[in-house]
Amino acid sequence: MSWPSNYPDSPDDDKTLTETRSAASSPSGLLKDFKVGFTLAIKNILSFGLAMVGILVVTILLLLAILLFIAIPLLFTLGIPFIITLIETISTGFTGSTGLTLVLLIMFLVLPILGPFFIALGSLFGMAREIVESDGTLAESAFSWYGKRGLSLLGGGVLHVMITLAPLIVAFLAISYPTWNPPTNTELRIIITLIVIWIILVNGMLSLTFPGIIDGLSVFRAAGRSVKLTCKFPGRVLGAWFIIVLLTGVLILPIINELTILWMPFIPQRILEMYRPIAIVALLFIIIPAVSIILTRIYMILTAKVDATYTQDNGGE
Amino acid sequence: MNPKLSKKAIKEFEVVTNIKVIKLLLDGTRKDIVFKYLVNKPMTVKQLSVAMNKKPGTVLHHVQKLKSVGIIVLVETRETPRGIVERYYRAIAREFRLGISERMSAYDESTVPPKDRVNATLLGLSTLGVVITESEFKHARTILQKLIDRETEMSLVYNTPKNHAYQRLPQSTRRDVSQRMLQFLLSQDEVHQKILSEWNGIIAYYLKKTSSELA
Repeated sequence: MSWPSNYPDSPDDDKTLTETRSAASSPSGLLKDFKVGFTLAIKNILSFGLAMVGILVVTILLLLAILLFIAIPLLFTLGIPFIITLIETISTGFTGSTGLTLVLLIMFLVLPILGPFFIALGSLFGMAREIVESDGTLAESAFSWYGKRGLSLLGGGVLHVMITLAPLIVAFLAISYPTWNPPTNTELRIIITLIVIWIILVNGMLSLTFPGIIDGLSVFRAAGRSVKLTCKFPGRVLGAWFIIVLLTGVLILPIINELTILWMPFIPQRILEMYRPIAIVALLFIIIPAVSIILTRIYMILTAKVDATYTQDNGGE
Repeated sequence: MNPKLSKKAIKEFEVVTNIKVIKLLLDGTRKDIVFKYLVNKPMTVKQLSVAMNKKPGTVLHHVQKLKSVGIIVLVETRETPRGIVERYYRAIAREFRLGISERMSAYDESTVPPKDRVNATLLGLSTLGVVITESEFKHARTILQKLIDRETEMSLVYNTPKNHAYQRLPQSTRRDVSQRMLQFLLSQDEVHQKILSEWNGIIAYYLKKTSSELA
């Protein structure tokens, strides 16, 4: 038994919805993501700036706390001679060991140091979520996300690193086991190309992990959702990611000392020196916030499209 | 601007028995979000933060918690011309009851009792002289459950998300309209009549039994 609708929808409603959906996945949608991302990042530069400074301080304090947490008990229980021996062992490990030992040693040292930075980066995605969803945020919000989603964000960062480094580790182990067997120059060129493609592609596919964690998903579900969304909307996710990589690359390549020789013929040294601090400030206070806003926006739109709750308001605000 | 179309049907009623969810709802801000605002209409985090005079970040945290336990749902995501992606959330039901006896509701009475109240109703009937024996309790419970299910089913005939004008009625008016319409629909429904007759038979039998015992 059905009941007549006493407030019938316009016959064009479904058509309009389909049109707005297709519009959202078109290149203009991508352009809008960047336009909105940079506009909102600049509009909220003060909040982001203060949050970045605050988070940096907290991150450094957290790193110190981690070091102290490890160092002090070691110092009291095992004594200074043991610490010296440990440092010597680690140094020997770097020079003497090959293969799995070296990989584990690097992971053991690198991951705890990177941990606080992952949480800090994730907190920016929390701020971005507030901006994209409610058109504003406060610097203190970053700390709120830092506290509430800290562990998940840490897990997200570790997962990113592990997946990114996995083939590199396998390649390294293959080269170093059973004996060190360095690749030829041609092989090296192929390996480096494949590694660069892998790093860009896999990080693109996982680029929506942090927005997913901020949305309340667990690390693995967020990563899974990111990959699924990329497979469903490759143009929107990977397109945005490639533009982000390109923009960041163009901005930071000239400030890398080792590559100065590439820029010398085109950019005078004096301008290059002036450019460096500007590029770092732009990267920290505009590009990174804009990227977090862009990715959050894409995540929210694409998940809404998947859940069939997406509409586009064509009227004025 | 609120969305014209809510794609998911709102339930008339929800019983919350999970202690974790009940605790979550006892928080002042979350209680207001659900019972003051989202039972009435879909709203965005920004709208809620303006209405409640709270920071959007704070409201977002509460909204995410409520969403994670399924008390509220995302009904629409609207992209504005300025690029803001507004998410509209709404409570899953117009009325919530916590446990069986306690209740927190947007209004006092309901036309559709929840399934969890069947036992309480049967026991409560004993105060009116309908003392159902233990051996008959299961049977009476099945009949009453069938009756309630049929009533719920019939109410869904008109209580659909597409009946926008009905959905927008004030709660008390909607309740009265629902009561009258349900009464009519049930009177026309043969299945309901059959179950009702069986139920009335049980009531009559136990009332008669009590009277004879008293006499």
